[in-house]
Amino acid sequence: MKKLLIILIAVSTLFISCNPDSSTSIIFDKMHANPSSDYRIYNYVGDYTDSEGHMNLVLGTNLGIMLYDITTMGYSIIVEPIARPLMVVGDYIIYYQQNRGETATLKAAKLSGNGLIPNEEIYDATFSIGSENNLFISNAYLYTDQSASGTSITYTVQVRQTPNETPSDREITFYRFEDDNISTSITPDNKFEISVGTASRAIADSSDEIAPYIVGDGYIAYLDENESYRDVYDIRSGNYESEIINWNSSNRRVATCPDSEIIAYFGSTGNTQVLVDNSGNIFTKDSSSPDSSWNNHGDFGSFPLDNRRVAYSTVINEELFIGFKYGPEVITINNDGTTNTKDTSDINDETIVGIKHHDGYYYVVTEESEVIRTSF
Amino acid sequence: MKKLILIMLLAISLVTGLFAAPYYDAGSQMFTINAGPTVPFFAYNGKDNYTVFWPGLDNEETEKIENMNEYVGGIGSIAYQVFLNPWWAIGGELGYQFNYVAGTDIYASVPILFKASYYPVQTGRFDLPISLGVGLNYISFKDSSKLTFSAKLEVGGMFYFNDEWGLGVMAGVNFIPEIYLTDNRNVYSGIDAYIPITVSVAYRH
Repeated sequence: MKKLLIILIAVSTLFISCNPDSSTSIIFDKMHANPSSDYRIYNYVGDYTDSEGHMNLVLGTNLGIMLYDITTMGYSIIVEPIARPLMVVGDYIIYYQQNRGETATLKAAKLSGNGLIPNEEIYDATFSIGSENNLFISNAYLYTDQSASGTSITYTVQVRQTPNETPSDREITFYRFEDDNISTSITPDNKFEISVGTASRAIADSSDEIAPYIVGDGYIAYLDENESYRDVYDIRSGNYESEIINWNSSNRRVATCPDSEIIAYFGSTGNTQVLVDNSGNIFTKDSSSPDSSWNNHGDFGSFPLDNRRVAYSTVINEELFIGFKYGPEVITINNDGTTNTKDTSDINDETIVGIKHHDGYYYVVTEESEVIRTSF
Repeated sequence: MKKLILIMLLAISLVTGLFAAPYYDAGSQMFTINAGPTVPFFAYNGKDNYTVFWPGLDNEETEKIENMNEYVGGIGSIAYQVFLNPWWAIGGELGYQFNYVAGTDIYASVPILFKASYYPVQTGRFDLPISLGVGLNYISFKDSSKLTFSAKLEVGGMFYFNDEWGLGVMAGVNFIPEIYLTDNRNVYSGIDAYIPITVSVAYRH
């Protein structure tokens, strides 16, 4: 009997010692960290590679921040419940937390080697608007300047009382990132910036009446204080005066439904610059000819207008991916501006909130269920 | 009234069995096939230092795990035991267990247990075994897998139609720890427990 027990313990010890700790071996945490079936993925904010070389998609859900390990294809961790991730800067994740009826707190924490966010927060800023405490952080904007020396990332948060109200005066206190040369500042018009590296660039519109709405690939779109029209500027010139499209002059007012025609994407595919509005209108322009005009490809897609709000769009490998609300479409933009669609039967009618291309696969983050790996 | 009579008869048979001459001898052998549902019991999560009992609560704003995300699954096993003396038998058990997680994914485990059983009641027609199994367990979920330990405590009743074949029900608790020792992984250590309820078919000689 004793011999049998000794043998059993010895064999067990041997097996355990030969069973190294690794992220692929974690079982129960993944099982219980999985949100319940009624969870929703809000957004895909960036990638993070852990110490074992596994790429993780950083997702925002109604239950908190979640990491999706591409290697193990598992939802590994939910951290900081009630948190809404905004962006990933290197190994840092920036997010805000807001309990019902409480002041929103903007935070950042370092993603550790095994994907955990440590309890200590290296950055903490509390938004407050007078005596009000029901803040609504409407959007986060990210502008990456690849042409500058080093890495420059400028991050802007717009804070409003309600989604449709103009920003109010606010008092913001920031602490500086001591590591990685990350700095924060407040622009003259009270917009919030985070810069990484030495080549920071500010998005500092001098007018309080203008709020940036989306920033990407060197362009900035903004709404006026009444959200009645939008303009787009090339901010790479630094003076914000090179107007590209004047939607007001095109008489494209959005007075009745401000969100319905918001510009959803700026980007480029090869020599073609692409702009997509929220209704699915696609504009292209030859980037090699600065004086060329934007070509409107018109309404695109087969979905009814009311259901075709763009949920996500990006360009990967010179292909434009557009995720519509209540149904996906993936569109290829060729260099000549012509468009094609891709078979999205894998995705069915789920709303795309993010796409990551890695090792030949497309990881499509859908709002309704999970991350779908597809090759289209 | 019928229930009372039934309980009394059962009690009498148990008491009779306790004081009856043992049925088994040293060297008696028993082969058992078990199958049935397994119900999640509780989960202890080391990262949150928190225990949640099945099925848990749906609370989207809690900072702790309040939903196991697991559903009733199934378990099947085969066991072989040899009696050391009329009261004790030892042997081994090989099984397979599965549970659905979050409605779609499957958690699976393959326990390989050393099993010791005590037979305090044995009348020849009715046995009441109490078993403890300890050993290894290969667990997997999605693309993750790990070889860990397992311990199962069971009690049940077996009715024998003749000298060889019997049918019964076993129930117990199956503890499965997931242990990590390195500093950057030990936060993932935890324990899952399940309640297997199986129908058992036994062959003895």
